[in-house]
Amino acid sequence: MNREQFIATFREHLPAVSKFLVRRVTRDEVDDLASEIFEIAWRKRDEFTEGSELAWLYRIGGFVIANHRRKEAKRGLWLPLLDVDATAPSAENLGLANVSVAEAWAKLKPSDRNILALSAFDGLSVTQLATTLEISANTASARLGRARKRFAEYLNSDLSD
Amino acid sequence: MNEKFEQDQAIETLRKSAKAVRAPKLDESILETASLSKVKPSLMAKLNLSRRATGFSLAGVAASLAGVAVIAGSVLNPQPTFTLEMGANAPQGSNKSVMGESSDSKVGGLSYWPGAPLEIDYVAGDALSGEAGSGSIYEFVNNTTAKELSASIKRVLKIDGAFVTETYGVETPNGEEKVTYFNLQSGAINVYVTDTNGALNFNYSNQEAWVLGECTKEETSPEMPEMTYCVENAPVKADLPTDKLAIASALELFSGLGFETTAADITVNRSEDSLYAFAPIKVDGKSTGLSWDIAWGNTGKISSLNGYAVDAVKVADVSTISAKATVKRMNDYRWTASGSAELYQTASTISSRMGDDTAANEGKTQQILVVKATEALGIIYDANGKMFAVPSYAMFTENDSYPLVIVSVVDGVIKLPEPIVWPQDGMIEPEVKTGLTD
Repeated sequence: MNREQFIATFREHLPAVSKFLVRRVTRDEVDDLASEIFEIAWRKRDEFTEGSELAWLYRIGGFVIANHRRKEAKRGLWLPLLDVDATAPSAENLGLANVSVAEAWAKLKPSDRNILALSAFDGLSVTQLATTLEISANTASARLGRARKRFAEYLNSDLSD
Repeated sequence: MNEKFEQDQAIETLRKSAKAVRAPKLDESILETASLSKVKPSLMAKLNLSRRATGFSLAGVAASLAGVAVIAGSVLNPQPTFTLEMGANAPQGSNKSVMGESSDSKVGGLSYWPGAPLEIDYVAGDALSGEAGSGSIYEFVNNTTAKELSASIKRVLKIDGAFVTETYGVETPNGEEKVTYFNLQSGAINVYVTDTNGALNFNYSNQEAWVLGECTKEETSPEMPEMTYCVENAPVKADLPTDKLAIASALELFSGLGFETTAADITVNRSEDSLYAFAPIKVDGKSTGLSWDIAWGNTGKISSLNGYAVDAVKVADVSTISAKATVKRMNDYRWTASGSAELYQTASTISSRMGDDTAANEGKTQQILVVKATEALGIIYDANGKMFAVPSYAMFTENDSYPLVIVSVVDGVIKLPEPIVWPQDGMIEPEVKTGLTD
């Protein structure tokens, strides 16, 4: 893939990557991190398969955000969870206005939040989730199913209290 | 009720509860620049290399890189002759998300969350002092070279292997600039040393410091019953040092690498399977925003060790404004600095402000009371990537335990950069897809 093809292929994904990032980092970090994602995408441009570009960008994005948070942690904010799953948006990131929803979201494990956010807000299919998370499609399906179930349980339990 | 229906309803409630995403429009030049890059991006992240510090700039973010010039004539002592780049290193959770137009006193409507509809107006509480004061500006100066620090790390941590020095070219609007780092990889151990981001610093990590317990629960995929996978691992009994041993170890390693501190200045945080300790770099008895830290994984091995090989050198004494007057600067992200690690130790991850009904408040201004302000040194970069500690206040609001660190140096010493203006017409509304499968 040459430079022109790269730009033509990834141009349409710029808005999606921006949305992906703005749910997970502060607004003024979006440009820098997006640049980093596309720099990596350029270097690894021969590794992705046609049709999987967006999921592949989200996979890179997960690592870029995780690294970014490690950097922030080193600067004084100790985050106990610094893996890719911990890059899932927090209730604050999502601006969850409903307290019960925010509490249910906060109760989820980072891995559940991550897969649920990728599905519910980034609109990824099971196949794309598998590519993004580097797991098989059936594992992605099962993990998503469990995350949905847990979220519904937490939410309903909170509402019934 | 049908379980799937219940789950669909829950997810729908989740989607409706989330605010509309107003993502900044990314310039296509990002793609063009990416396809010209030569430095390994992963290294950029590992090395903690700020594009601001390296001079790396991209279309669309150039506005955020404007320097801050010092204006002579209004400080106590001879003027520092540096220029500053404000807010380049603000901590997460700070009010960095700013939209709107510039003015002298307020940059625009602050959004606490990305894209939040609320504007925030900070109000000084009665407890805040109205007394002005004075303080000093310190520049961080490397107290050794990258080569010597690398040798110390190898010797003190008893690491086999050799550091490799590499230099990469980074494309910038001003042409290619060089980035140099020292890297040592020895099995699971990885060390980076660099002085290209404002101060000489290093990162040590050991992936073998953590182990995962045996799989205790497997599940089968509903779609492919022949496949099973692990969903739960047995807890691993952590073999962590006591606080006393951890402090002793930290003191020995820090000292061996050139950082002298005391046991009283080391803070230890312990969880079930990890241990973390840090000590601030102090100057004149005050913590600067820089610290050294060390962590242990559940095996009891050191999982990470990070530090800065720098001394803080006073470059100017300056007048400062009162805590009460500093509140007015909270609405302008350009006064934001990063604070020391101690400030964030008790920080909660979820603000009580989260309970507000943001949709109902859209377009309104929310007033937030600042209840406490403590003197602190805040870290900022100058336009050349040098790092400075400047008089600041850690401002605590009524609902948040995360303080915002705001520079308190009097007007006239620091000239602010032009503010970032987000393109309102470039905002993108969400397009939420539904459904689980293709």
